[in-house]
Amino acid sequence: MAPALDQALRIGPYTYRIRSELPELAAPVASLYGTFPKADSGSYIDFDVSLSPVRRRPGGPARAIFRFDHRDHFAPVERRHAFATLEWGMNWCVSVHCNEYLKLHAGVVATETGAIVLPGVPGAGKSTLCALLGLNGWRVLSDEHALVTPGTKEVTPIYRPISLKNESITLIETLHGDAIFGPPIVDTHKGTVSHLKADQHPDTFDPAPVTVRAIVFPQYRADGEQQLARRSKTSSFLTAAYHAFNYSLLGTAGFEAMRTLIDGTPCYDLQYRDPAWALRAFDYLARGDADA
Amino acid sequence: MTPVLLEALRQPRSAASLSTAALTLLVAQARTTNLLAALGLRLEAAGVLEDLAPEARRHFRSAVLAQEKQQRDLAYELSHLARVFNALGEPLVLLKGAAYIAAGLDCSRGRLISDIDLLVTEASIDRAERSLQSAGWEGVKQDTYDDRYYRRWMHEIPPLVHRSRGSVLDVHHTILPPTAGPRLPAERLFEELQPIVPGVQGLGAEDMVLHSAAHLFYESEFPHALRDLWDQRCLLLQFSEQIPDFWDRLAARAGIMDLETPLWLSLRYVDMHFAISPPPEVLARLRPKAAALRSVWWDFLFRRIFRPDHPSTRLRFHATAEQLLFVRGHALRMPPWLLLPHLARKGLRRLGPATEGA
Repeated sequence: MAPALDQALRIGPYTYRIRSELPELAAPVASLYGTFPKADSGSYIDFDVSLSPVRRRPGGPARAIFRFDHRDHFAPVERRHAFATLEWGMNWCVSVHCNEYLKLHAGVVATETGAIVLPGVPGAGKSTLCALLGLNGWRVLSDEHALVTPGTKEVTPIYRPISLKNESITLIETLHGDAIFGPPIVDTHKGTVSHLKADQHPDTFDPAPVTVRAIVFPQYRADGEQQLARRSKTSSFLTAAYHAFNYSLLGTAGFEAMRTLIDGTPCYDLQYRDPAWALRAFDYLARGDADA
Repeated sequence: MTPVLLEALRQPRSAASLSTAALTLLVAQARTTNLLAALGLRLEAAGVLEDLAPEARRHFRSAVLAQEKQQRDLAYELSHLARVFNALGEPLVLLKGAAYIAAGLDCSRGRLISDIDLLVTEASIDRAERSLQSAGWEGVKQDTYDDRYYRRWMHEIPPLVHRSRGSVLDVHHTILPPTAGPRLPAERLFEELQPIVPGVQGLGAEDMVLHSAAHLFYESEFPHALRDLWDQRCLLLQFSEQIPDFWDRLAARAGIMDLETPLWLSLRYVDMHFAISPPPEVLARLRPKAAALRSVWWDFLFRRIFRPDHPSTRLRFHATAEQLLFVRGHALRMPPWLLLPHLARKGLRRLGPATEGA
C-alpha cells in the first residue's frame, strides 16, 4: 500500500522524512507544512520518522505508533492523537540527538534587529507569546528549541508549527479569526492541543543563524502586575541552564556556551496578562535602547 | 549484500566514498545498533570523519558527546560505589560495559551502557544489597512474582535505581543463571580478578571474553546483538595482541567454565563479520559436537540477528529468527519444568490489562 504521506522537508538545519499510512494526517500536514521547502531527492535524511497504525486491543480504541529510523521508541498512542504525536516525536528527535548546539527549551522570535530567546517552564506562556508575535509581523524561529552554536550568540532557526494548548487556542482564535490551525486534538495529557501555522514572515525558512539580542523569561499571570524588569545574569544563567536539553551533557563546553550567550546579552523577566501590552514590551525590546 | 555499517566498521576508509543516501543509511544503521559513537570514533581515528558530509558528521559528533557524558557519569557513580564496597569490606567488581569503560579497553571507545553490572559472591549478595540501599540505590517496585523470579532463579537481585541520580545497578553473583546448562564454577571467577583502578576490579581477560560470549549466545532478546559482537571482536583483538598465548589460555579457561560452545559460536561469528580468525587448532579444540549440522540452524538465527535492525539490511525471516531466539534463550537458561510455567505466566500477563502501555 502506498503511504498516504511520504515527503522530505527541510526543517531548520535538518531534513525530516515524514511518512504515514494514516490518511487523516495528509490534511493537517498539507495545511501546516505546505509552504515548507522540500528536500531534493538524494538529500541526507537526518530524521526518518513515521506514524503507523497498530493492532487494536480487544475493546480498545484504534492506535498508532511513532517510529524513528523504523523503530519503536515509545508505546502506541490513541490514533486520534496521531498528529500531536507526530509533532511531539519530531521535537523529540532534536531534543535527544543534536548536540552540535547548546539546546535551550525556549521559544525564539526575531525582527531585523535580532532574535529574542524565551526560555521557560511549560505553562509559562512562551508558545502563546510566539504565536502572538508570529501573527503580528515577527519571525518565529522556534517555539521549542533555541539552537545556540557554542562560542557564539547566534541561534539557528528551526521553525515548526506552534503547539498551543487549551485557553491559548481560544485566545489566539479570538484575536486572529483568520489564523490557520491544525485539527484540535482533545484529551491529550496536556488537554486540548492545536498547532498554529505561524510562518507568515518572508524569512521564516531562511536557515542563516540570527544573533540573539535579548533573553526574556516570560510568566503569564491572569491577575498580576504587568512588568518587564531586568534580571540578573547569574539567575538568568541558572534558569536557562535548568531549562536546557543538553547543558550538562556538553560539560564544560555547555558552561562556556551558556556564558558566551548570556555575557553581554540583556536578560529580562516579563510578567503579563494582556497580550497587547506584551506585544508593546517586545516592540520596545526590538527597537533600540535595550542594549546591554 | 554486506550492510554498509559492517563495511564501515571493518574498513573505516570505505566510508569516505559513500553517497549521501548511503551515509543516511550508515548513520541509521549505526544508531539502531548503538554503535553510532563507536563508529564515529573509529572514523575519526582513520582520518575519514573530517571528510564526511557535515550533515552526517554532526550526528557522529553528537553521539560521541553523549557517550562522553556517560563516561563522566560512570566515573562519578564508581566513586560512590567504591566507598560503599570499601566500607563493606568486599571488592567492587565491574562486569561488561562499565568494566570496559573503567579499564579503558579498546571496545570502550564510544561504548554506551544502560546500567552498571556488578559481581559479588553469593554469600555476600544480601549484605551488598542492604549497603547499596542505605547509599540510595532502591529496588525498583515490581510485583512479588518478578521479585521472587529474580532472586530464586536468576543470578541477580532485581535492579537497583539510585533515588536521586537515577543510576541503575544490576548486582549478580555469577555470570549465567544457575539454571542454565553450563556448570559454571562462579567462585573461580574471583580467583582471576584484575585491578582496574584503585578500589575497582574487573574479571580476568579470559573471563571477560567468556562472560560477554556467554551473555550473547544465551540471550533471548537482542536489542544490540551487533554491538555485543563488536565488543567480542575488540576484546579478542586487543587481548590476543597483548597477552602471550591468549588463544590457548582462552580455550583452556572456556573448558574450566563449561563455556566452550558459546565461545566457539562467538569466534565463528566474529570471523564471519569482522574477519578476525583465531588459530585453527583453538577452534578445533572448542568445536561442539555435530557442529556442521547445528551450524545450519545457528547460522539461520545469528546471521539475521547480527544484521542491523533496519529495513535497508534486514534479511527475510528476521522476525521468525527473533521469535526462535526468544524461545531458544529461555530454553537454554531454564529447564522445561521451570520454563513452561514462567512463559505461561508471562504470556497471560501480556494479554491482561496490568501491563497496558508497557
